Amino acid sequence: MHTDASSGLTTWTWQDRSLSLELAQLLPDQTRAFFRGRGFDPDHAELVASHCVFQTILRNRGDQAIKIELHRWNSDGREGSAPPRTNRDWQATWVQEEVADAARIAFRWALFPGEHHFEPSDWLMGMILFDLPPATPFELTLRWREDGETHEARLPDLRCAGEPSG
Amino acid sequence: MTTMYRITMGLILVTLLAGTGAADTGMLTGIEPRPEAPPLELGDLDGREHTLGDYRGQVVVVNFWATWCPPCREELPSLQRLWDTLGPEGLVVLGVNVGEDADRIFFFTADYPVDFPLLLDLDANAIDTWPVRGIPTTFVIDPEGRIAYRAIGAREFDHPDIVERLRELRRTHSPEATMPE
Repeated sequence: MHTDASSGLTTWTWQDRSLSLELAQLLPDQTRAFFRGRGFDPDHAELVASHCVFQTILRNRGDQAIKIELHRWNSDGREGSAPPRTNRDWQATWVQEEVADAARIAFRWALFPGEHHFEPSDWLMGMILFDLPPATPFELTLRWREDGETHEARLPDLRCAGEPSG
Repeated sequence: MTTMYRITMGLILVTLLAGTGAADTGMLTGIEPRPEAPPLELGDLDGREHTLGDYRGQVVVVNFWATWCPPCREELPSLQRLWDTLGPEGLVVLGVNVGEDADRIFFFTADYPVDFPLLLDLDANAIDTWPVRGIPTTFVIDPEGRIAYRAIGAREFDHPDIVERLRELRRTHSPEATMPE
C-alpha cells in the first residue's frame, strides 16, 4: 500500500506467482473530469463519479495463460457483497439516456474489460467501478482461472477515495 | 481554463501515469495456427484510405489505441522508433485510434509526434471486428495477411527481441525464402 503525499490517494499492490494487481484510488473529481473530457454531460459524469472507482493494472507475470471475469469478483463491506459494475452493466443506461456515441465508446474502452484472457506478459490498465459510495471501506475477493483451476485471493482493508475535505 | 480544472487534470495525470510502470519489453504472443486477419478499411488523418490488403506481402503492425489511454501513450514512441528502424526494410505500422476525431488526434501528435499512418475508427466499428477486449492491443500481420503475433498492454516495440522477430517474419515469407532451389 502506498499513499501519495501530494494527492493523498492510495494505491494497493498485490501479487502472487502468476498475477499482479494494482488498484489506485480515483477521486470523484478525477472521474468527473475524465468523463466530462470524453463527452459526458455533467449529470452522467456525476452518476459515474458517485461510484467507487479504481484505476487498475492487472498483469500476467507467470508462464500460463489466465482468464479474468470481473463478475466473479466481489466487494464485501457494510453495503453488502457485489461484483464490480462492468461496461455491459452501464451501456444499456447510456443508450437509454442517449449519451453521445463518442462518450459511450470512450467509456467502454476506459473500463477494465469484464472478461479477458491474458497470455504471459500481457497486461491491461482500466477503471474498475464498484457499486459503493465514495470513502467506503471494503474487502475485495478476486478470482482467476489458470491451468483449468479457479484461484482466489482476498484483499482486505481497501477504501474508495472520498471527496477531498476542506 | 479554471484553476480547479488544472488541479484536477494534473491529479488525473499523476494518478494515471504513476501506475503505468514499465512496459513489458520483448514479449509477443505467437498465434498458431495463424488466423486470417479481419478486414481493416479506414482513413488516416490526411483523409487517405488504407486497407490491410494494400500491404499484402509486407509485415504489418496494427496497434489499437486512444489518446486518453496511458499505456497507449507510453508505447507510442517505441512504435515510432520501430517504424524508423524497420520501415525502410518494408515493415508497416498502422495506429488505429478508437473513437476520437481528427482534431483531437492532431493536437495530441504535437506532444507525441509520429509519422506512421494514424487511422480513424471513429465509430469503433473496426475494432469490434478484431479480437480486442482492451487497449492497447497490437497485432503483427504476416505477409500473407494472417495474425502472427499479439500483444495486450504496452510493449517496447523497438526492443531487440521484437525487432528480430519481425525481421524473421519478413525473411521467412520473402520471395527468396520460398523460391525453389
